[in-house]
Amino acid sequence: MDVVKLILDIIFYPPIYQLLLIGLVGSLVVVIFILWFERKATARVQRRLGPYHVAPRVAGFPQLVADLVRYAFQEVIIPRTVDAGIFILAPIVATILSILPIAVVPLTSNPGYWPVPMDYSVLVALAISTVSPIFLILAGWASNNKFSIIGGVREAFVITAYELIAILSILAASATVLSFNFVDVVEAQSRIWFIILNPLAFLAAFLAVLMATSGFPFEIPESENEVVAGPFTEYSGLLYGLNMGAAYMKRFALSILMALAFLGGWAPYTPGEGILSGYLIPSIIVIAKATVLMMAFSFTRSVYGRFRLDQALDGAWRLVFPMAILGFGLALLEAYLGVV
Amino acid sequence: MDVEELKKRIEEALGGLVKGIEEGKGFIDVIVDLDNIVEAASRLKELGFDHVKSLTVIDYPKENRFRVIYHASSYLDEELAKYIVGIGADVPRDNPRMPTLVYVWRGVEFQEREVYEFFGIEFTGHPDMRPLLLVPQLAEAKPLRKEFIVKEEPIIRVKPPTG
Amino acid sequence: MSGDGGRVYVGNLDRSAKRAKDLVMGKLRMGRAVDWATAFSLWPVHLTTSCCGCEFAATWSPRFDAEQHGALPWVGARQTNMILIEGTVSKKMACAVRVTWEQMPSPKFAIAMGACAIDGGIFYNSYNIVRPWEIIPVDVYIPGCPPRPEAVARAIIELQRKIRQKRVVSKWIEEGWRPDKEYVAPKEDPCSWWRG
Repeated sequence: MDVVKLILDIIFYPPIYQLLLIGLVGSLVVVIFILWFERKATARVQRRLGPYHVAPRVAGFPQLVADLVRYAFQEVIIPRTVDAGIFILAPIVATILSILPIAVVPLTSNPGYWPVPMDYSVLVALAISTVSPIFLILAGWASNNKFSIIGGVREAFVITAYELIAILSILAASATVLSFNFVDVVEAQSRIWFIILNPLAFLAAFLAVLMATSGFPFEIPESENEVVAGPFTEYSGLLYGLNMGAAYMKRFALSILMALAFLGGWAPYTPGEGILSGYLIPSIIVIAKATVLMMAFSFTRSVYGRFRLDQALDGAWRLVFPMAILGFGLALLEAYLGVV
Repeated sequence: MDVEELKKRIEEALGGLVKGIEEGKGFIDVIVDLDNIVEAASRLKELGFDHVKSLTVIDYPKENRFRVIYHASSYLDEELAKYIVGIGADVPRDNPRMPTLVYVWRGVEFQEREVYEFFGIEFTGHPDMRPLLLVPQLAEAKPLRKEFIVKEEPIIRVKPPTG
Repeated sequence: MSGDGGRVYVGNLDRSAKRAKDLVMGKLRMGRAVDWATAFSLWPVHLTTSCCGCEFAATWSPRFDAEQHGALPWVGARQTNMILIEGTVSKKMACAVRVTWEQMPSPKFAIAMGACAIDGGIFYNSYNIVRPWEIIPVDVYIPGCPPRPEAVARAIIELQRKIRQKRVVSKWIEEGWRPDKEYVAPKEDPCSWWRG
């Protein structure tokens, strides 16, 4: 009985259940929806039908379920030339780290349902979100394949470009309210959202998240007609599914951060008491806003071409980075004038 | 410039190297000695024929020779661009060697490799004398020579395994 | 867990794999789900051996759109489970076909496309071609020179029907090898010219 009690204690420890409920279940559902939307939107832009015959009544919605099950039951090939330990561990750790920011983000203003009651949730969540790319580089390096190594190096280049922008532009929101706590940031947006007050920072954050998760105009590390599948060239079966899922889960986590920082979080709704009104409804509102953001990210796939590496880095440093700094300055100005 | 004038210009340029000119419908083949072919080709290039369109070989087993013909033409000279002039030589069949023209026209490098694998003519001085398209075992059989006999397959075959 | 020259030590991997297989395929009865999933997720690998590749491209183009059957052409051989032999396979290309086939993870299928892939087509009696069924096990043949894109889509549907009716994938996973088809090993190594 002690073991059961211990497991229950672990599961109902607030950061863990937030990670399990929102992080794993929520992100799985959202990612399945987003991938279906991405393929369907691309097909519609190209005047095709997209995935259909797998379930004609719901327009092929279970297509991603089929792909996931197929990947899960395929052979996992570990070539003799790879560094096997890192080769297996890297995608697993990258996937875990991709959704770990959700464990510290408060999704309600009811203090009883905060995962970790602290005043620095913005900083901690951003700090955790910057760790996972290292494991993608490791995956590329451990694969011992020239395409993987080129992809890993490209990933490293892109990280140096986007990380500063993402952090600066999301911190602009907390600079406006002079607090590192997401709850303060969201409650300051009850009248007017920060996307209207500070569109520069929102745009910079949008571009930075696209770069961070290999969104299409910046899908440089795994651009299939230059380097076969980038760092994932040697991966097969479930490990490749994890690798692909890690990018989308990271996009989900960063979209939640953006939804809290710019789109007002649970803004039209005021969380009350009880688990339904205090936790689930605000969480679902935040996830819905994040899903809308992810749909915008996905739509860029069907309408843009891919930048070259040098073009993306040039744009990031010359255009988006000054934009993020301007957005931060705007946030400080608004804080000085006391707009919110 | 008509064909007669072109013939006259080529004969002037090549001097005594010309062994014979064969004229057909719309083309001219200049035949030279095997030893003079590099000299003749470089003189043709000075005349304005700046590239080779194709390289072809004919096998005459009864006369014991190959005829190798480079079809040259011009990009830059508008008058010469209307014509394709072949420059060729006879290569003995029992000793199939001839000097390469890679250093005259850079573009014939791969074509000479192709001739090497299909006919077994070795181009001395070629920078990279390997088979190009065929696997090496097949290139040793020299499949476009007339004595190469394709293994005849019956028209009705065993049914391939159905799934 | 540690990696040492391509080996990973995680306890008795064979026994754990067998227990997991018994649980998933036996108790949870995932067999039909796996058949269904694989049938609707046949991703062909990009390997254009010959001129039928144009029709392959047209099959996934907006007008014919084979993606509605769940097939998505993918770049790397490691992430796919179907290979479409497009037309003639010359002796040098046979090596590429066999290497690509061996790079693909295990429940995998092959479609041979065009008259050349069946019996040589216009290259019948040639000294430089290889029949695809001599080097890999082919599931579905498409006649035509070249076949229309509709025929390629039809072949994908036939393969889906075969997988779901004969329950190929679940039996493959349960028994560890493919039950309804013999393993095809090339009589002579197609890459011998390359390995030297």
